[in-house]
Amino acid sequence: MDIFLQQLINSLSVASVTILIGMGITLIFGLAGIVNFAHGEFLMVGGMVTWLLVMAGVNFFIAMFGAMAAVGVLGYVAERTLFRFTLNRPMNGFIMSIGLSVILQNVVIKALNEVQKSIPDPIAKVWVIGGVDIIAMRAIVVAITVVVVAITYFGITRSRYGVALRASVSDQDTAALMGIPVRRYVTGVFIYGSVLAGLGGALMIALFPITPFTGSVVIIRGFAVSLIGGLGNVGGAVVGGLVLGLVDALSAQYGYPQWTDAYSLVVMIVILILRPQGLLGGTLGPRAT
Amino acid sequence: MKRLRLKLGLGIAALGLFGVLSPPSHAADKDLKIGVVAAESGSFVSAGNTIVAAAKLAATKINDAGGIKVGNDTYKIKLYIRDNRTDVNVTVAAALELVNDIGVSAIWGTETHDYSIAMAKITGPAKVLQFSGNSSLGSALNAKSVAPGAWLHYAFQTEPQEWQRSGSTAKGVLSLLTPMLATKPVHSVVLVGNDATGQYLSSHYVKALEADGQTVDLVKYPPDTTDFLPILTRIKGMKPDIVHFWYNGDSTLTAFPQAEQIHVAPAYFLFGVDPGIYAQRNLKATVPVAMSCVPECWGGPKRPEVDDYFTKYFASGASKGPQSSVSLLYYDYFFMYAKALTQVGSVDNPDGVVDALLKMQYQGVVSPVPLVFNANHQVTFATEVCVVKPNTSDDFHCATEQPPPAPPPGDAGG
Amino acid sequence: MTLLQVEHLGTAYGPVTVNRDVSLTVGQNEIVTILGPNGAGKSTLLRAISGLLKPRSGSIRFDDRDVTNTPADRAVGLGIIMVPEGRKIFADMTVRENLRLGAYARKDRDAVEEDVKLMESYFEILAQKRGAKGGELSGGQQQMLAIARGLMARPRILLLDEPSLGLSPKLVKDLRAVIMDVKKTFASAVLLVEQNAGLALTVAERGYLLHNGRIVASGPISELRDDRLMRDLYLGNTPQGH
Repeated sequence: MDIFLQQLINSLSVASVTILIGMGITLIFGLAGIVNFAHGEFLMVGGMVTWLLVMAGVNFFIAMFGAMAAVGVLGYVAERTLFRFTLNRPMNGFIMSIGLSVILQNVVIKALNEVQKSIPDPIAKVWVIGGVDIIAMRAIVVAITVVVVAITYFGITRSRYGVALRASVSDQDTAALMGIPVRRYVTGVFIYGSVLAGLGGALMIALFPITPFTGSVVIIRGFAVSLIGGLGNVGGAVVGGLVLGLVDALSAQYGYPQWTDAYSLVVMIVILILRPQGLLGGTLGPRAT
Repeated sequence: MKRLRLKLGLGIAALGLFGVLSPPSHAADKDLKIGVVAAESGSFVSAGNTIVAAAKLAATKINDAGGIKVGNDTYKIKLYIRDNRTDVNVTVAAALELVNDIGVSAIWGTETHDYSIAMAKITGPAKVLQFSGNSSLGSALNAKSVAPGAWLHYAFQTEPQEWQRSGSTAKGVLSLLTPMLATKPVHSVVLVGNDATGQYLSSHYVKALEADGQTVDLVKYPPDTTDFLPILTRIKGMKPDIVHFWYNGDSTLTAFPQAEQIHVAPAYFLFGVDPGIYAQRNLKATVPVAMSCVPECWGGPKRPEVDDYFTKYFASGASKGPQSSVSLLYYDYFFMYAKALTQVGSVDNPDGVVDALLKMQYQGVVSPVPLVFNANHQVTFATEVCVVKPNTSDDFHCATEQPPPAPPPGDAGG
Repeated sequence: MTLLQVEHLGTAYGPVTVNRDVSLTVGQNEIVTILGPNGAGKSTLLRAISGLLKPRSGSIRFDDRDVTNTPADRAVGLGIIMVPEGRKIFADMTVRENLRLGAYARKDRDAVEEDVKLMESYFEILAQKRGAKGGELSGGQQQMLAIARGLMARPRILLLDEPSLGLSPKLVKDLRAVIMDVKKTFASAVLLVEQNAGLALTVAERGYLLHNGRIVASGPISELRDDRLMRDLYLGNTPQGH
């Protein structure tokens, strides 16, 4: 049981990164109906930027913000040059995003190389609490994610922008009649989701090495998490992430290790068959719960 | 149109005549075309780079010393290096290009999985010699397959048979670690990547450990894993005495620090990691860590010839990767091939070269005793195993372990 | 002084032309109505004026400023506020949240809170139901909420698209009183679009008749009421005095 507790705690940190990605995907889809398959590559770019900065001597936590800024800019550029033209034809946007993901992968491979990149553990401490080894950096990842989730949740439910966002999602025209610049909100949400991906990438590389192909793996889990929770539902992304985290811990401890990726996907399929709208119900727009 | 064809015809005839009538060229140096197929990218880049570096070092040394005298001619080695990107299809394509389009006399490589077997199916029929360090080739080498006219007649395995290498490694690791542990180790966990090479290599190693009295649990991870924490946590729950990391050096260097963070075991063995890399990366553990090298360690206390080799090896620009010692599986054999060519007196007699190699004893860098190919085209030499003192990065103690005389029970050899 | 001036406006959806050559004006603090049967192009016209639809031709001037291509969210900042057809309350949000959204574009946040209280006192039902979700209100209550929401923006002109649709006669009476107050108390002009002439003819000062996308009659309400076209188009629907 001790060991399983250790597995759960380990999984929480990976689940945190997946939650960040899932939240970004669900927000962007919920508001703009944009399915951005390159979102995983956004995370990967965030990780690579972090690597470059840390290798150049920058403190990890500063590099983390650097990554968030870089991917935020990337998201802004992608939205302005690609996705804004496909808002009325989401399928085109989806196909373009697949192309974008391939382009980003190859740019990174050309600029750096295919070999995996890693940084030294920024904290390099292990706390031993009640027989369980808690790697400090992993705990920090979870803490940071909790803060970000709280900010996002309260932002959507309480802040003026959150209310305007929900209105835009609910009825774009009427929101415009309130004076809400809906297009700007689309851009804003896209940037926010991208920043979350950048943060996810920075946190991931602080835990273990990444490669230019890490994005392809992450995007599947990100969508799985959003779908499990209900596409468009921010709280759902959190629940979905926790569910996958639990599945990961169980499969790592008791399953066949070669099948670790398969288990979470099987769970997603089962949940979607039994409850197609997701556990908390998908919406046409970002909801808090 | 007719005029053009006439002109063309005359032109070609003229060239042909010129070719026939021009005097035969006794060029001062001829090219001995040698191909190298190695992973310069992809997951096996660390090992692949060493092949290329060793080939370049050997070729430069031979060419600078005047080249190879074959009959009346002097040959300089011309290397054709191809990146197989750790992919079997690219390997096959490279081999086809080297053999059919370029017409190489020999190919060095690969170090990756059983690509060597795939390559041999191309080199064999074309009578192109192949020198592969990869011990998975060993499963295919036998009296029938190396007989004259058979597909592996021109292939040579420059690494000992896997059961020999596993046997000496297991013995060496246990003998070095046991005195440093509080209790005698009886439970070993072997962690290996779940691909063809992993399965092949680990099967022999597990049997070797069992023959030495260990209870062994074999745990496999998906090959592209970078987060080893879940699987290491599980291994921790098994309460192992030693955890053996097998076989990809880069993966091991990722997994090992993660293991130490959560104190998985009281001792570790890192396969595919040279002591030199351990020291260079300033790795440290609170428990004893053993390493083995294929075949001689870079970074441990040394023989002067080996030191000299590594000094020149790195001076030539080779990178200090985790498996620099792998280069030794390729280096000496350039000199053996050159010697065989000189003995035979012709570059167009591959059968003669094969016979010459089988009769040859060559004192190179890789082994304190001369290299000899057995009847199945395989060499035999010892494995060097080192252990680092806990809490240090470079306090090594090494020993050379000879291979066992016979495969352990349950091991079919090969 | 003319607040809103529409000249030779043409609108279309793709290849389908809806309005042709529409010219109309609304003065400061005037209540003007546009009447017409179903499909006449009234809502499309309002959408163009409010900024939800870009006109094909012609011009719209507001306060002597060209707003022909101004998008809706920016038009709000100028004081052009529309209460859309079907009310379009945000059903998942509370009454209060709906009201506050109406004031989204305003910078004076303190005054906004004052105005919320003002709306709640003016429309009692909003005070009672302040915590209820928009979707829980009845049709009539939603209409009041929609107008209140529009008033929260402190409009200079309030565009009302078929507000009496689906309301009982009693509620239509209340609506009439509210529209009069929009002019008197809240000092805003009103452009009222209706299919049913009942409400419009009792509250508007001037009117236009729209048919097949064009203006076919216009004038002070008393004249319009007796106009022959009006009688023909609204056979039996013109009220005989109120």
